[in-house]
Amino acid sequence: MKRYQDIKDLIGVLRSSELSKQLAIKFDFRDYMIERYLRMFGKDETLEFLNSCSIPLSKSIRCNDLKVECGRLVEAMRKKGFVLTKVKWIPHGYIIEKKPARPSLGATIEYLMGYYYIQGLASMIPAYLLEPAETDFILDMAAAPGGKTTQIGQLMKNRGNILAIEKSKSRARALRENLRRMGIENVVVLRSDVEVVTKLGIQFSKILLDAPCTAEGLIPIKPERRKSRSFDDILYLNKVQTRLIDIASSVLKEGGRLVYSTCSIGVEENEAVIEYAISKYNYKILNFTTFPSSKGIVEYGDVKFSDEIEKCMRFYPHKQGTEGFFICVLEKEEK
Amino acid sequence: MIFRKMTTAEVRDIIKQIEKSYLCNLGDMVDNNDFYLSDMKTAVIYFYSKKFSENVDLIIEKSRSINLHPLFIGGIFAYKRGRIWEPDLDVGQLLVNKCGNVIRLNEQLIYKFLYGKELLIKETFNFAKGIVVDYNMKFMGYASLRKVKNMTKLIPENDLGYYLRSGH
Repeated sequence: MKRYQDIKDLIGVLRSSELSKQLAIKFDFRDYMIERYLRMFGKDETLEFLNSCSIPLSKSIRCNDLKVECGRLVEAMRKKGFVLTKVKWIPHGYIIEKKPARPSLGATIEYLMGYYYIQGLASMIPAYLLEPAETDFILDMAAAPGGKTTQIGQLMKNRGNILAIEKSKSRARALRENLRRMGIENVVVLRSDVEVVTKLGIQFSKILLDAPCTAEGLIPIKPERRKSRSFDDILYLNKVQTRLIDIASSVLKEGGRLVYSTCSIGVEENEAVIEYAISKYNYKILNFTTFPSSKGIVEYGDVKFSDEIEKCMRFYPHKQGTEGFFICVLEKEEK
Repeated sequence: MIFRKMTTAEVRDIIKQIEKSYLCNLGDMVDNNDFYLSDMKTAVIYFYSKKFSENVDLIIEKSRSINLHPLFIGGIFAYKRGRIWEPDLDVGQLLVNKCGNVIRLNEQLIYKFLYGKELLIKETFNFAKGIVVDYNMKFMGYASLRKVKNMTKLIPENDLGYYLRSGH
């Protein structure tokens, strides 16, 4: 087994086996994806995972307790025909067990009043792991459409400061409207390339890097993702993600916390990026056991990542019943 | 293009206009927040808690040095329509608790109001601008009022249905 050096080490796994070709045909995936799943999970679990990708995930919402007491939201929604069940391991998370024909989840008065945000369960977790406090000056590096930004604002009870960056005009507009609807008042939005933060000369106490990714974890929600992305796309995103790690590292205070997350499940967009971060910068990975996650992958084919990467968190549709997701919490050690 | 922090005197002038239109007392709004004017396509005033605005000023200063300005700060207090400053949706609930011109509607009428429909209601009011709430006193939007015989026509001006219409 060889120690992971850079992304080129992961290209060698792409020789498709007979099994991956068969499964790719059966489940309508690309060969290279199956080959990677076989290396991640082994045969039996790959089948479990592939089967779970055909089962739609339950919709979930995050209750906004800045605006409503969550018990009252459940009751108000019940009167409209929605049945909400609390998710034990997510403080503000609810599953929609039953919904009426009308109104849709995004068209209730409660939605317009900002009482809830429609959000995948796993994507609610990074904000909790950031542990935002009113003394924090937080950078949200890829903020739109604002699910996690509004959640951080909620957890800070509108105190402290969040700087949210978004380059795209339409996505920045969506971010702004979601901040307004959810009643979040402690965010400053800059519409710019995220590189701009390196020119501001500001150091942040905490950073959320919910990185752009190929969304390989969203296959149960977006079936077209089975065929829409090539391995080159993944390699390209790895470059973007490591660049974002560089940027985050240059503006994070010593002792500060960086939460890295993606809605992808490939090691190229996750463990490989974290390996890059811990080998280049003085980060340690923090261990959290609050959530029922799977461990970060440290052995992948004949490639070995650092053992501490096991502390990163993975979420899967076939194990946690969530979208596929990856989170790792890094702390910048003081020199 | 203008983007700057406002003086207390400037803010008080604008607040006076809004207080007069909606019969409010918004004094503590000025005491607790800093205000920022963005005068681009539409003039907008943002507010941010004074307790935490030091870092906001820092962001403005640093971004100005590289020819940038924030797209959005805190919440929107007011926006300019013609020559008039109108309160924004972001401060709607706050105004419910601090203003007199409040109109309560039942759920059926609220749905029509949020879909931008004009309503004819069997009541008269002695004001021309009102804050529409549901039976739980929750903010739904702003409306202008017109007398029609012994009834009132309620014309939605800015309401929470905006979030549905804007498609975000």
